[in-house]
Amino acid sequence: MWETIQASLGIVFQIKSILIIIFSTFMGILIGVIPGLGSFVAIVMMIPFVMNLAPEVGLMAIIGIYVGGMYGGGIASAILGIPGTPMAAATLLDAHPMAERGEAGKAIGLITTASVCGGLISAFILMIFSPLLARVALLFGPPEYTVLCIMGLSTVAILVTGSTVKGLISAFFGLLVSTAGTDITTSFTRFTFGIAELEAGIPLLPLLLGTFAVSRALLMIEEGIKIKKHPPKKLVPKYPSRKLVWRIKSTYIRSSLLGVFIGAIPGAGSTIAAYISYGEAKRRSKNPEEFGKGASEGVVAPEAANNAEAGGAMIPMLTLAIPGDPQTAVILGLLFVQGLIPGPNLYRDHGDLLYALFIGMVLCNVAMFFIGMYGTRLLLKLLMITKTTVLIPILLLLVTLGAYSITASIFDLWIMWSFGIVGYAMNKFKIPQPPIVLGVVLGPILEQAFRRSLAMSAGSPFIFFTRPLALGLILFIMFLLFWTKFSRKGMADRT
Amino acid sequence: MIFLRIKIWNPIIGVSLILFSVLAFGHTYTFDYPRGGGAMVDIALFPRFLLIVLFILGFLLLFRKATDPAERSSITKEKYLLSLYIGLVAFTLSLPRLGFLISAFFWVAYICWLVGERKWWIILLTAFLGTTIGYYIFQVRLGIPLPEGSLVNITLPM
Repeated sequence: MWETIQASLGIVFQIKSILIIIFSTFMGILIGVIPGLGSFVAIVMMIPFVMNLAPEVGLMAIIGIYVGGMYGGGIASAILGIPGTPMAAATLLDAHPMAERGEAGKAIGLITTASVCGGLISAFILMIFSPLLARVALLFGPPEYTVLCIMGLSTVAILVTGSTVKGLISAFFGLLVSTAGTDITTSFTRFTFGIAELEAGIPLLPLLLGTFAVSRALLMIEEGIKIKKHPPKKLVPKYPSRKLVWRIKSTYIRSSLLGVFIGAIPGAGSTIAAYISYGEAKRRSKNPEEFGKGASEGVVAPEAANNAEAGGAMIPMLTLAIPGDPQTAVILGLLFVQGLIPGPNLYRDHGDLLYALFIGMVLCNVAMFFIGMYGTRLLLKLLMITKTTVLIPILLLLVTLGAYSITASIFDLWIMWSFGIVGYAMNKFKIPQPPIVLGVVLGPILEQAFRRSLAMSAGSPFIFFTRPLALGLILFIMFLLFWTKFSRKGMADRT
Repeated sequence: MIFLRIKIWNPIIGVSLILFSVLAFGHTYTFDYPRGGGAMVDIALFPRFLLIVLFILGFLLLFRKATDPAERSSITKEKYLLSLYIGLVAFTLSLPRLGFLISAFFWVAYICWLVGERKWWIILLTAFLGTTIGYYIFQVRLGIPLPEGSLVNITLPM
């Protein structure tokens, strides 16, 4: 293992790798700050660039964008009063009132330290526990994978904000889309309608770019980016005082651990982690009445949780190939494209790459700290001077080049424009988008596991209830589903 | 475009989903594969299961009231969106004929104008810089061959 770690250090501590980590974290923060875009769109847009890098460097770049994007959303919440990302909506509850009363620098300092704390704790937990959990994955057979996939989809569909029915529609539609193309077991085709390009299935990246990035551009055109205010003239991020940090140290740590734990639940996501952490912090606070008015714990709790969730979400993704959230679903898709199959074999055959990823995660958080504390004003200035009339065409050009670059096929552009309409319609009809990503990425895994399970049981569906591990997973995840739904309801009542 | 102002979408989505599920379910009977081979060979099993679930969900949506005010939103700038998509289609059709540089230049300029930019120098600068930087990053640095036009082919000396 020490040789593996040494090899990983050699990969990470090269000038090129360090520069890519810094640049990708910066880009993640920049895109995450733009209202309407966020970390998910940032990841999707940067994938075409990342795919042309070596796998280990590309994965570190994606992590930088992921981590930076989460943080950028928090900055937008505090300063602009607009959550740059859905998970930053919980941060806005206290960060924006704090900024409004003249403590914008303190808000940025708390957001930055909380994000870094959550990110570092989750990186270390990921580094220590995921190799152990990878061995547990050997016990998982097709029925267990089927249960995990279904529960992951159900979790994200049921726990997203809004209608559960619409969340499930999104998830099952994503699964259906994944069935188009050539079946990998039998080589027979489905839903190709005689189109040769569809025999390889609907390409993932153009689908994602269309559903998320193109639809965002359409919404920006329709609604406009309403940035009401400019950043305060004297925006100087301030380090939180030692006394304050010591007073709320338990909030930092508890929220980070909660974020990792919730992130490890397939499909739960950082929005859930942020809200649950906020609710817990308020419940345990000696001054709960201050929440919603600029309480320091109210800023720290959701930010630590949503950044910690990133590491947690990577645990099931790397060990079981089940993404913990939509962002890791995209990363999983990227791993598949690069021929890296998550599971115990990945740790055995590409251990140096994985440890490079973990170390890279630590460095991304360090980069985020310095960019956040010393570069926030520049970031916000860049945002202010960029006109919408320039941003939208450049965004569309970038996604076009991105979609085209994968297979140099014009057909992929048609797929992207088509799913742009689908994504736009989903936004207008309030059908949540994250479940469709999980559906598309998990579809092939779920189908193969489902069919193998039925083949094992000669067609009987009771195999999912007679295998102890599968049944245990069903019960565990149902308990978590009810607990998180109950906690969210309780938190909504209290806030 | 009056239909785009309809504010209660749930029944419409529900009916559309039901129709889609029924049609797609019927289409699964056209899949060409050996019948009776069991779960591993039955490629229609999984899609049919999904379509049945979507059918049920469409039915549930039919009767779901739009309790969230946001569910009653309508499409407001349909002219802009339609014009944008006409531009997207024109751009995609022109790519193999005029090549990336010419198609992208005019397309970016068009989008700039469409979203409200009226200063010509900003439109031209955005189109020029966007196209050349995009060409440099993808064609030159990443080595991804961008479309060359069959009718007109321009490349940059980089």
